[in-house]
Amino acid sequence: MNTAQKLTPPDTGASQSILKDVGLFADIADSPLAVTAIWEIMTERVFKPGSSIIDEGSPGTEMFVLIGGTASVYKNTPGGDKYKVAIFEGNKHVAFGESGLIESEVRSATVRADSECRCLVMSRQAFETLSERHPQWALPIYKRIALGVMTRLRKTNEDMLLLYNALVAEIRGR
Amino acid sequence: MQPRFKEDKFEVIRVPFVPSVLRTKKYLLKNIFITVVGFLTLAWMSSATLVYFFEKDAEGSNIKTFSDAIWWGIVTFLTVGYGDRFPVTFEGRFFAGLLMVSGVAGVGIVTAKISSIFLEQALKDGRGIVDSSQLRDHFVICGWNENMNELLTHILEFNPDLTSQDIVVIANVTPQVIETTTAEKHLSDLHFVSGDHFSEANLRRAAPERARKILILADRTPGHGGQMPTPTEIDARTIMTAMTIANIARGTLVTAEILDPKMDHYLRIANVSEIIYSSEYSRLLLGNATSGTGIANIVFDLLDSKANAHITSFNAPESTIGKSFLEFKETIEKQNPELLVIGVLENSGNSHSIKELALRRAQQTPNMAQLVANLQSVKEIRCNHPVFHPPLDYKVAEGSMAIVIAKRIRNGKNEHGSKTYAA
Repeated sequence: MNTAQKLTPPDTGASQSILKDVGLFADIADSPLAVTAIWEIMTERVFKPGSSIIDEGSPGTEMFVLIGGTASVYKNTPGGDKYKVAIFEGNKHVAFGESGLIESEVRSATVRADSECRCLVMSRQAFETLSERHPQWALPIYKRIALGVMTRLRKTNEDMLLLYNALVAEIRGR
Repeated sequence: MQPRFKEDKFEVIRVPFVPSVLRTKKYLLKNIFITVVGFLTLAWMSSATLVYFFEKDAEGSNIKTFSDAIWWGIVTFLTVGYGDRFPVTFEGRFFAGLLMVSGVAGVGIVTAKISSIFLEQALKDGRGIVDSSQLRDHFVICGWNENMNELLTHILEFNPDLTSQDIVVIANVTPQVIETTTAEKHLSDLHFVSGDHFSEANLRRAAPERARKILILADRTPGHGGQMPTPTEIDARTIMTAMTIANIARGTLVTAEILDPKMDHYLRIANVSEIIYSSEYSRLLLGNATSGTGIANIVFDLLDSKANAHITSFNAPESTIGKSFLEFKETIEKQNPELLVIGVLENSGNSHSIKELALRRAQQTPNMAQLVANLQSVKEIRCNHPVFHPPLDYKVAEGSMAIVIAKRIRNGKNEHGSKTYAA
């Protein structure tokens, strides 16, 4: 199994630079107190090469930040063919699965470790405790999540329009 | 959305089986065989009973029990007549006489029926009528043309693993024509389905869903009244056949010959993977011959199975897919020294399966704009599209085959094969 452990906080500078890369925390990464508080509610988990970090279709309540190794993102077509969507690299500090912090969402893609992957994991429960204790830090995070959802919604609307036009063009026979 | 393909289903209409008394009675009367057997059994049983009744107490009689009477009955009506039991009274002899007469008549009818079943079977074999349950990986030819024997011989030459018993011909031909065709030794085991090749019932008898390949010929045979069909009529039959096959044997490779190139659109709709424009070919060759390039000879030799080398397509090894044309060509030529790669056949094979594969590929993107573009390109896909002499960095896509000029291997199977049929 993948090992989980409590994080030993590194020096504030290093953790600050990691959290700054993660869009969700960008607004509060300047405050050392906030960084420490967030760092405290995250655990580190190591994934062996080939194991899945999240699985498409199964529910999840955790958010991950990749801080070491590389992982690939796969999706399935409705017909069941798997294809690769993207590659995440550890030094970019990519965050994924953030909607798991709001509700146990059904994962929309599979993330699989290509090499040994180190991830920071934040659970919804821990995040909710943080929001109760320090709403002033949780609020900017919620705002960021909301912005992400809005961007995605806009993209979905554009896609809808695109499909709509394609369908009309197809029926018209161009 | 999952891609779904609407499949038009033809339902076979059956008369519902209602075992009503009326129907059973009608059936029994119609089937003389069952009537005769029933009558014989009745005659046997009733005579045996009557004879037993008169004989059991008679003096000097040897039919003493009912089982004696039954045994005597069957020995008598089957005209065996052992003579171990026989009636001695007048009444017994009278009924024995009746049983003998009905026995001779009845057994005659039954014997005739049985022998006619065997005779019919033998006749069917002679005319090559197919038992379609036995057919696997066979070759179906729909229609007839004037050089059928030569065509069949060529098919056997180009497919050394086929013998004439793997070929089914569906055509409107007379038993005499069938006889003349099968008279040739290498064609003696051909199967025939007599009738219109565009009729679904006839096509089904050739088991097209299990066929390796189906060839639809432009059939110029005159109709029942002796009138010649017009090219449009011929093409219409070809198209009807192709569409029927697309319905009952989706996925089978179909090649069709068409006279009017403008009609090929309909064949594409029916998923025909190869279209042969026979009159167009000769016109092109004639036109080319006037330019004095010698192209007519070149084309003839490339297609002739008896020439030293011929043009064909070659299944490229898996490892060469996705590589550049240069690598593709070098790998194949190194592994097969008798081949010269001159191009790539894109989207080879059956157009239905090519489209399926392309559709699956097209969906493998999270980007909707890309998805729409991909799906539109699937619509425009050209099946079995040859690309000659592509640039060396041309990327060989999945589903491609190599177009090669293959040297004939001496003492190989092909050489042997063509010798056998040379006569």
